[in-house]
Amino acid sequence: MTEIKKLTKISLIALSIIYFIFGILLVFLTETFIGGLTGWTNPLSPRNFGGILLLGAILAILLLRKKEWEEIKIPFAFLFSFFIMTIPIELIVMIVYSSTVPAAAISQTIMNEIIMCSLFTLGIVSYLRQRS
Amino acid sequence: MTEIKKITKITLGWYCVAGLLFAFMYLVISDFYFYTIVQWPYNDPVGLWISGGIMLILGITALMAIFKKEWEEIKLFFLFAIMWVAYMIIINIVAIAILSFPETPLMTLITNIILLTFNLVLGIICWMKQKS
Repeated sequence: MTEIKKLTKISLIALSIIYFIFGILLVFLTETFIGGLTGWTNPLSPRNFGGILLLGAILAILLLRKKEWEEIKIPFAFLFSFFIMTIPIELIVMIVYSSTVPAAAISQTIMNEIIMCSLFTLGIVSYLRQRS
Repeated sequence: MTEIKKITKITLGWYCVAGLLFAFMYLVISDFYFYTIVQWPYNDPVGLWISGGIMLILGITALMAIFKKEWEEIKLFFLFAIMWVAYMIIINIVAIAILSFPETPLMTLITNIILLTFNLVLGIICWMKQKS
């Protein structure tokens, strides 16, 4: 059994805060956050994803209460692997639609990409350190 | 440590198949599926792809979880999957209640709710059997 390292706990706290903020924005402020920025009208998909992020924040908090790395290894990898999909998808969509969306949406996407890449790197470093 | 029961492995296998199937529909053939078959009335290029991407992650993680031996290793992931399914049922019911959909997307949402309810019941049965 391996003890959970401090860096892993820090990355879980950072993840839960970011997931919570974006979860609230996507579930409760969809029309302002997505519709207002891009003009896209789908009311359901952003709320689906926002709900997943809120549940992810709850799961990250639950993981913080555990003591053994083996107990949190799979859910930890699961939570951080969201970025494998969201980073390229958001980037590709923004490149394709950059001519049709306002500058504010592009600016928001760049900020999202920076946050996601930082968290993903933190997650990978934590995972590797935990294994070593 | 508790062993993972056969019914839990079957459920994880089913979640894997469902996750990969929906990932294919949302990611690979999203335009054809949503705008030709389902006739989805809202435009949103990013939300559908991200939902598909997260379902792909769910499918792959469920597949990885099947090969684990101890229940404690996958317990929190399993809990997340059940909570996710419950959330999806709620958000789909709320969407049907609040928004007005044409016939085809409405039928698709109802079919999704039925499938998700089956998944939720299966998950809860596994959770209770695993705890007993």
